[in-house]
Amino acid sequence: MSFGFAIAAHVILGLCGLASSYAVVLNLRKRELPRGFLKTFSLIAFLSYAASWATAAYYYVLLYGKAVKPVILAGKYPWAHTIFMESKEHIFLLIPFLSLLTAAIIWFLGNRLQSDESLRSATAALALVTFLIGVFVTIAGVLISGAVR
Amino acid sequence: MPHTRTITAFLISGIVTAIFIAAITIGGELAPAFKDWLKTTFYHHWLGKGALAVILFFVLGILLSFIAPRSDSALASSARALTWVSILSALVILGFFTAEAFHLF
Repeated sequence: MSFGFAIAAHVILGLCGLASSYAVVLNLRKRELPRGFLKTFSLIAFLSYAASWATAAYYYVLLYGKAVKPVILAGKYPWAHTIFMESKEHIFLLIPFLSLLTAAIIWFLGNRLQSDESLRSATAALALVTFLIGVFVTIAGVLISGAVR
Repeated sequence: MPHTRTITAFLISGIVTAIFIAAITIGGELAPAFKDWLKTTFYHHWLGKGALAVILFFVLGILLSFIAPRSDSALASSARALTWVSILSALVILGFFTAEAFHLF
């Protein structure tokens, strides 16, 4: 697998996960829950984040530290690495667990989400924080990419 | 319902894992010997942190499945607690690297 393909797959899969998390948040707010839709998109979110993690690992472990990080640190915006890359790579680790647990609630307790308002709002909050952390990771990725140029 | 206890257990495990991710991240920066151990053992410190988090999450989740509360309120409370702990964990990591970049410690 080429590094170009890995980073492209990482970005596309991450955005796919982000869009799916957002779709889950919005649909958990509907009066009549579309359970099939929620199951599908919560699973897509988890699988996308997991695959994005795997492709990121390939790029980050084998190329970033040797070829990209030195360029950023020697450039005008070293904080893109010292603050944003360092934070992004570690904060990202939260996302697969959050998306897996959101999907688990929807898949195994989905029949209760319609009537249990407390569980529904807690699940929506979990999906929302997954989405917001994903937004931070995405913005950090844009800053890091910009700092290389 | 059998799923209630299991998912509550894994939500609690998720809370511990979120705290662990922040702790191992900061610990690795403050203790270079620990970061070196992660590199030696897992090829890269980041792979080590991810692998240890996955192991912790599943092992603790399985163990807690035998003792976690079965109530609906515990399930929703655990999900809410995980949401807040994840936000705090992310802010602690961001705050740590920001402080480190500005040589505040």
